[in-house]
Amino acid sequence: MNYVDDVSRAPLDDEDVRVLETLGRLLDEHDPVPSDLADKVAFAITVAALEAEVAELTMVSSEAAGVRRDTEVADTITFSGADLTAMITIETRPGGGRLLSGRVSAAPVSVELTTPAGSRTTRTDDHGRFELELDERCLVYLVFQRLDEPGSRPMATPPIEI
Amino acid sequence: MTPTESTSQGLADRATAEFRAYQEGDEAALLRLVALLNPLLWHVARGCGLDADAAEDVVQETWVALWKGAERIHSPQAVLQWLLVTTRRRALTVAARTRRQAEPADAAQLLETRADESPGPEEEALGRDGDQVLWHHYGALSQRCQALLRVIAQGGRPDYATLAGALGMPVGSIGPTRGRCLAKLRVALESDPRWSGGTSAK
Repeated sequence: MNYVDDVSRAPLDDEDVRVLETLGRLLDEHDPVPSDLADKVAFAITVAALEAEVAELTMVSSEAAGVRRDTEVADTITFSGADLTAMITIETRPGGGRLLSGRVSAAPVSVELTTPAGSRTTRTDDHGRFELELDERCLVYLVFQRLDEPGSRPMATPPIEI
Repeated sequence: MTPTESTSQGLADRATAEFRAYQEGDEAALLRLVALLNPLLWHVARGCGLDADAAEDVVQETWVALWKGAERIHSPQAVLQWLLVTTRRRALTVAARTRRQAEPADAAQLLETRADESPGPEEEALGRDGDQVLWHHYGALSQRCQALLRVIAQGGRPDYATLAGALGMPVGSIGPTRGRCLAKLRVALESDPRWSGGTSAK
């Protein structure tokens, strides 16, 4: 083991750098960092910053288990918080775009959609309905804020791939 | 030079620049810091034996903790070390809790999982020559050494001393010395005739 001791006390050389670079590449191949981890971190920080409640995903249904209506597939997801429920139907458009049609249990409510590309905000009509469009499938989350009770706690959905 | 352009610097210097920008009011710098250091924190958590879901949770919690306590980190230079230490401490806590909760019946499965993480013959056959030799000898190191090198391999030469120090490995006071884990790997490679192009480690 004396030889290992000597080697361990020697300074780092170019060969060490080469070994570590190769090892780094191999680890990236065998155990890659999840591609959406940065988005999930951004979500966690947003929730903390808003002191938002993270809604519980209470129901997911594919219409008749994914039966296609023409070229569209609709999925409905329901999120529930302490005093707000949101039901969102996702339709896949030809070409891969997504249409989100939502209904919230209060009105009016501001709805902020965050994707890896950025955020945008809309608001529901007086019946709690809203629509948002996406160009492609991606990881998103929504933050709802009641406008009839401005001081109320915002509700964020968990990040969902839609 | 803006912080994002300084790619020739080590991780520690770039992290310091981004965190300083964030503390000075550039909100977007925090997400650049996340993108920069997530791989490092991921490998810290995975090296502690966490599965992928638990590792993701720990990395997220660590960033939220940084966001909450950013003003308490007085020196921007300290941010990398703070993140490494916090991730490691949380990951070890979760790993210990998971081990306690594991049913005896799960033990065999756990061992299987561990074994799966080492390269199998199939992967070795697929690998490039040097890669498979290196992967084999890395897999033969102790869990502790694998965890340490996994993190250190994410940084470049300028980061070696910082990363090693933050993970509790003694480093030389003058210049960074290899330490035992890297030394064991070098000696193993040196004695393997399949490892080409190596110079003497001593």
